[in-house]
Amino acid sequence: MTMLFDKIEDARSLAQIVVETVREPLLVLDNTLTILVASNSFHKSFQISPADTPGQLLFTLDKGGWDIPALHTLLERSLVDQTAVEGFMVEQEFPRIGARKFLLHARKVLGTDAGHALILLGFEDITERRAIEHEKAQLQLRTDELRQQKEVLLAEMQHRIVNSLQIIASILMLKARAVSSEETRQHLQDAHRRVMSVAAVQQHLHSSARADVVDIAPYLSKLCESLAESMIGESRPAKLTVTADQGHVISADAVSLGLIVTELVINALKYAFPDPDKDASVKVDYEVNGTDWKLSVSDNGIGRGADSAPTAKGGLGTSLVKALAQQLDAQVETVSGPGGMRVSVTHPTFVSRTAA
Amino acid sequence: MGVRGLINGMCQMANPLTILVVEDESLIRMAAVAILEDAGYWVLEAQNSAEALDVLARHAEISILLTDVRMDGLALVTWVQLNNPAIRSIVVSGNASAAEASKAGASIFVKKPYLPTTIVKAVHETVLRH
Repeated sequence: MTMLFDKIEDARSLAQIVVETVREPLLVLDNTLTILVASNSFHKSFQISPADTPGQLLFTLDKGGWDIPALHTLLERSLVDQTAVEGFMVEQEFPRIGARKFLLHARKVLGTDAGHALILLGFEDITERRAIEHEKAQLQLRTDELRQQKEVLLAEMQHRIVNSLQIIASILMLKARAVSSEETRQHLQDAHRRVMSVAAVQQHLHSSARADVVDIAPYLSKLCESLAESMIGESRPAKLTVTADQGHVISADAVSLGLIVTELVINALKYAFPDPDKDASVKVDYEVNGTDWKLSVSDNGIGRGADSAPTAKGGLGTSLVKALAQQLDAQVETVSGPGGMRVSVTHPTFVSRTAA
Repeated sequence: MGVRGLINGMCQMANPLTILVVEDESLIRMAAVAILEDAGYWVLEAQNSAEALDVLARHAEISILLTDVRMDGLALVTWVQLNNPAIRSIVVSGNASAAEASKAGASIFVKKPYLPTTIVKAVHETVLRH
């Protein structure tokens, strides 16, 4: 019999040690809701002296600071129900530690009726977690606001850029309309086309998913469509075609490539066919091999020297193409003969896939 | 040019259509007016929606509205659609979409910056559609 009492006492001591050493605040209450054992973490968390807890009614603890209606509800439920109550949220101003948020977990552990039951009451302090969650939600809200602001600013910037380009194009167009010299008009119209070539990049940047790259194939097609619209007609019949591999080009390079195409196409349409020719053809090819590329513009016209613009001093178009090619770290090669002319702008390391 | 285009062109010369251009940027407006006048149209202009409503009230002969989306351009298109459905609208913009223009009631959307030929084509297409 003594041995049995010793065993019970050992078990009780062990249980008390376990309760006292758990990390989370924990209370063992009897059926009258009197504290039997409190964990060290409970004393530490709520800044209550260990001497104040044993035999103390929970609701009178800390001068009635624990007389919390929600806690009443929870513990009454625990005494009646066999099931555990998990995650019961209590938000309370505690006398010593101030406002805290806790999740309470309660479980009836002994006895088959409320009269002999014990209750384990665990506390999970979620004050910091909730504060972090709140801070995170506020941060997300601020991020969303900033993203919206950015979108509005981008749209405004896009409008400003496009309108500025349209204003420049309008001035050139109005000036071209006003001048009496046909040569000056041609120069102003060429300048207008160059502005529109830069503008085409802007349109493609706006419509692409990424703001810093341009889809090269649709960009060149659209650009040549505009050039054809402004230069090809009954007095100058020609077929302008674009063959381009799929690929992306950063916006700065796209501007240079677009201007090169504009210069070469203007040059071909102006000088390759001195007389209207229904079979006139200008082809733009853009080939990609890995990170390398080759751009060529060819025609089936009369063929001419590299510096072909008869009225331009030193050939402005050719100078522009060379300067732009240099900017792209590319080389310009011109092949001309009776069957036409071909100007290629190539990265020095480019190897054609058909040749490889 | 097909027979329809020829007839249309002849009618236009005999009785040119009147277009109202609404654009707050004066140089762009000037250029648009010049382009359309060169193409043979009568052109009136306004620098914002309020001025456009005034011009519309005074000129029943307007048959095409060409407007930017700024200055409540889309609202103007919707107003015209509701109050004078005979007027066809062309919307030009650098950042609005064709879907937005169509939803407002525009017949055609032209992306800025545009070529002179593009808006002339847009006007021709609007005329042919109706």
